[in-house]
Amino acid sequence: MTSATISTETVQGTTGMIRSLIRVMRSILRSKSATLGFVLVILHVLLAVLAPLIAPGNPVKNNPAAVLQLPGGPFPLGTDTLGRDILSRTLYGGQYALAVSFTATALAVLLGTIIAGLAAYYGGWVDQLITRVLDSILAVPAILAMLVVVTVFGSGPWVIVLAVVIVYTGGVTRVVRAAAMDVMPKDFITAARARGEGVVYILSREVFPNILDVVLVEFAMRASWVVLLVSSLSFLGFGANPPTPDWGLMVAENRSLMAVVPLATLAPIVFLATLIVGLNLAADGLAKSLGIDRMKEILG
Amino acid sequence: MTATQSEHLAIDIQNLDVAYMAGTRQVNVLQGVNLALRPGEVLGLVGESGSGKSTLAGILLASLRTSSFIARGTVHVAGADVFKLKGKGLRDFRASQVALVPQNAGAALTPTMRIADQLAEAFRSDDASTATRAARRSRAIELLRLVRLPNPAAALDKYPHQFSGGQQQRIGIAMALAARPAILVLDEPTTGLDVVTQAAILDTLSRLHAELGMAMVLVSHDLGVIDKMCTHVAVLRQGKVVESGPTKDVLAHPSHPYTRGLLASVPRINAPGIPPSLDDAVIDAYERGETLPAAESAVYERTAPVGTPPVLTVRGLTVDYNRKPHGAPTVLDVDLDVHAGEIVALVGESGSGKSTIANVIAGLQGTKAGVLTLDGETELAATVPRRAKAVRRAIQIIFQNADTSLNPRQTVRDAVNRPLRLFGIRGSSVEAALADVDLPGSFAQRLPGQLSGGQRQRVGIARAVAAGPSLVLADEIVSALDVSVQSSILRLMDRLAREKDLGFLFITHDLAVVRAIADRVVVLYLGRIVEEGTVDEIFGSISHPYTRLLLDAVIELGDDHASAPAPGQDEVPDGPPEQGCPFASRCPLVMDVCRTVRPPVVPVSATHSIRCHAPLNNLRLDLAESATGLV
Repeated sequence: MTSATISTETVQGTTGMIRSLIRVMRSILRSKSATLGFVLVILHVLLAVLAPLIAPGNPVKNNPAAVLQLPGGPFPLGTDTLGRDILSRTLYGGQYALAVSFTATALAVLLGTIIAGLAAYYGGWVDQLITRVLDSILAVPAILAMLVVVTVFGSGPWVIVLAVVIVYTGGVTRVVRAAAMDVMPKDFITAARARGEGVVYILSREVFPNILDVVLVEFAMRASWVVLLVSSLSFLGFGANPPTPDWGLMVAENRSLMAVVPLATLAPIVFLATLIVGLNLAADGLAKSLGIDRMKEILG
Repeated sequence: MTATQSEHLAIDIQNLDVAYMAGTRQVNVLQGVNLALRPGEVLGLVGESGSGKSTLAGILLASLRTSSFIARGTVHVAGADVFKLKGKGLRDFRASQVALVPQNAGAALTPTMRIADQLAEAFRSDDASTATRAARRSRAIELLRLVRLPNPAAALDKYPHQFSGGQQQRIGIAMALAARPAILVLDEPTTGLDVVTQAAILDTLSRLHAELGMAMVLVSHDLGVIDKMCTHVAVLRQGKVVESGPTKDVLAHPSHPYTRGLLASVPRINAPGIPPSLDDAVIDAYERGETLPAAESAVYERTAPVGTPPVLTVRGLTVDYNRKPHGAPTVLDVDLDVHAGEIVALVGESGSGKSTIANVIAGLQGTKAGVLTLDGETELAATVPRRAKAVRRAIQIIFQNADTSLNPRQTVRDAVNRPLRLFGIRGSSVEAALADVDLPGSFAQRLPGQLSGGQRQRVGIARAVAAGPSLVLADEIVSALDVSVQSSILRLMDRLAREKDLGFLFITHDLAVVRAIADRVVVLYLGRIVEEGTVDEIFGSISHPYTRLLLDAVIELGDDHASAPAPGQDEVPDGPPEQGCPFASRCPLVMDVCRTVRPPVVPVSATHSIRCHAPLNNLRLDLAESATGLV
C-alpha cells in the first residue's frame, strides 16, 4: 500500500515536471535569441565532449617541423610556436573551461541554495549571522579572492572549483534567500510547520519547488561569469597549466604573435565569446519563459 | 442616443463588449453592457469575482488590462468618448473628470512620499488656488478635514505607514477628491476594513456625496453596502448586466434568479441559520429560457451539540510580544473551551489577538502563561517540535486565503496525502478525504492553479480533515470567498462538525457569518475577553458595549439606513492599557472605575458572561441607547 502510494506520487510528480518542462521549452523556442543561446551552449558542450573524435590532430603534440604554419593542408587553422594544431587545441580547449566552470557553478548554486534555505527557514540570529558573513566575503573583489586562493593552494582544477565556490556562493545565497523569504510566510508553510514537518521536508518539498525558477536562472547567469573568470585566470597563468589546451591559456601564449598567426589568438577568443554570449542569451530566455510561466499560473 | 443627450449624463455606456484573445478565439470579458448614470447619482456594481465588475470600473477611467480591447460599443464619461482620447487629452480627462479609490489604499499610496506631496500631485496644475506652496498646503489640510482625518495639519508631514488601514483609505479618498472630479469610482473601498471602520468610511462618503454632489460608482460584493450607499444598482454575471435599476426596486423585487439567489445567500444578523447557496444550473437554465426547480432554497438552522466532552480547554492564556517588561501583554488571561462537534466563534476587530490565540493553540507561538489541555487529559506543550505526533494530528488548521494555503507546485493528491502518510493513517485515502468535502476523486491530479477559490478552500479543508483531528482552527475561512460559495463552505463546516464530532474554533470578524454558523461566541477586544455566551445570547438584548458597537456597525440589507446613528470617529488604540478595562477609551458608558480596575466577570446566565463595571441593566439594548444619548 505504502510503496504503491509512493510510486503513484512519484509518477504524478514526474509527469508534472515533464509537462512544465515542455511548457518552458515551448516558450524558449518562441524566442529567437533564447533559442540561439541554447543552441550555442549545446553546440559548445557537444564540441568539447566530442573533441577526441572530431579533432584532426593531437592537441599537445609538438611538431618542430611545422611551426607557425598558416591555415591550409593538414592544419585547417594553422599551428602555433611549438607546431601544435590550433584547430585541435581550440576544440579541446573548451573541455577545461566548461568542466571547471559548470562543476564550480553547480556546487556554488547548490551550496548557496541550501544556505539560503536555512537562513530563510530559521530567520532571526541564524539569518543575521549567515547574511553578515556572506556580505563580508562579497566585499572582496572576485578576481582578487581567487588569486589569493590559487596562490595558497596551487592551481589544480579542484582548487579553481573551490575558489569559485567561495567567491560566488555568497551572491547566490543573497538572491535565493530573498526568493525563499517570499515563500516562507505562505500558509502552506505554516500548515507544514503545524503538522510538525522537519526542516528537510519543508525546504525540499515546500520551498525549493517554488523557487526553482530563480535557482535555474541564477545558475545560467553565474555560469557565464564563471566561464569568463576561469578563462581570465588561465590567461593570467593561474588556471590551466601548459601544455593543457585551454582558451585563456592559448590567448596568453599566442597574443605576441598576433601579426604572424592571427588565428591562434582569434579562434579561442571567438569560441569563448560565443559560449559566453550563448550562456547570457540562454539565461535571459530562461528567466523570461519561467517568468511567463509564473504569470500564467497567477492568472489561472 | 445623440451627443447632446450623452452630455447630460455622467456616464453613458452603449452596447459595450470588452474582449481578449485566447489563441485565435475571442473571449468576452464584458458583453452588451448598457449603463447610464446622471450627475449626482450613485451606481453600485454588484457581482461575484470574475463577473467583470472591476473591468467595468476600469473602463470609466479609460483603462483596460493589457491585451484586452474594446470589441464593440461606446463609452462616454462626463461627455467625452473616453476611448477616443489620446495623449494629453486622456491625461487631462483622468486628471480632472474621474478619480479612482482603489481597494487597498495602503498599497496605492507611495510609501516613501509624505502625505502632503502625494496630495499635491493630484492638484490640477492650472488651478490658481494651489499655485503657491502655502496654498497647496492649506488646500491639502482642507481635503483631509473633508474626509475627517484626525489632526490634518500634523498628518501632512507623515508617511503612509504611520496611519491605520482606515486612515489610509481616508487619505486615498482625499487624493481622489483633490482634483474635484465629476465622477468618483470606488473599487471595493471598505472590503479590507473591519465593520467599525467600514461604517465610518461609508458615512464619510455619504456626507461627501451630499456636499459635493459628484456622481459615484461603487464596486462591491457586499449587498448591504450597496443598499446603504447607492441610488442605482447594476448586477453583473459573467460579463453581462443581468439586472439594473433603482436600488430599492432591484433589491426589494429582484426579477432575475441570479439577483434573487445572491440576495438569498447573504447571511443576516437578525436571522439565524445558513442561507441557501446560489444554484448556477437554475440561472443558466433561466438564461436559456427554461425553468428548473430550485434545488435548495431553505435556510438551514444548525443545532448545537449537547453534553459532548471538551476537546480543548484554555486557562489563563497570556501572550506578551513586548521584549521589555513594561507595557501590557498582548493577550491577557484568556479562558476558552471547545467541545466535540461544537463551533465556537472567536470574534473581534483586526488586532484583537484572535490569530495570536490560534497560533498558540497550533503551537506556532510561545506563551507567557496559561495551560492548554487537549481532550480533557493531554496538556499541550508550547511548541510543535515538543508535541507528540498524536497531538499534532489532533489539531489542524484551515486558512483564510485559499491561494496561499496550498503549495502551487504540489498536486491536490500530494497535499492531501501528506498528513495521511506523516501520521500513518490507515483505512483512508485521498479520494475519501476529497469525498468528505464533496470534491470528485479526479481532482487529485490537479494543481491549485486549476481550481476555483471555493474548490481550493475545500482542498484546504480536506487536507486538515484527512489527518483525523479532534480540533480544527478555522481562521477567517470564508471571508475571501463570494457570498454564494461562502454558504456552501459553511454548510460543509456544519456537516463535518456533526458527522466527525469535530470541534471548530472559528476565527472571524464577520458577525453575520457568526450568526449563521456558531454555537457559542467569544468576543475579544485587544487580547481580552469582554463577553462570551451562546450565539442567541450574544445577539440578544444584553451585551457588552463593545459587542453593541460591533453589532451597530454592521450594515445589512434592508436596514433603515437613514435612521441609523452616525458612527463615532474613534480608532482602536495601539495597545491595551496597563490597567482597567481595555475598552474604556471608546466606551460610551465609561466610569472612573473603568480606567483603573479590571472589570469583573458578570454572569448573565449559566452560559453567558460579560466583563463590565456597568450594572447589567445599563447593558440592555433599549436602556443602553438612552444611556449613550446622555453621554
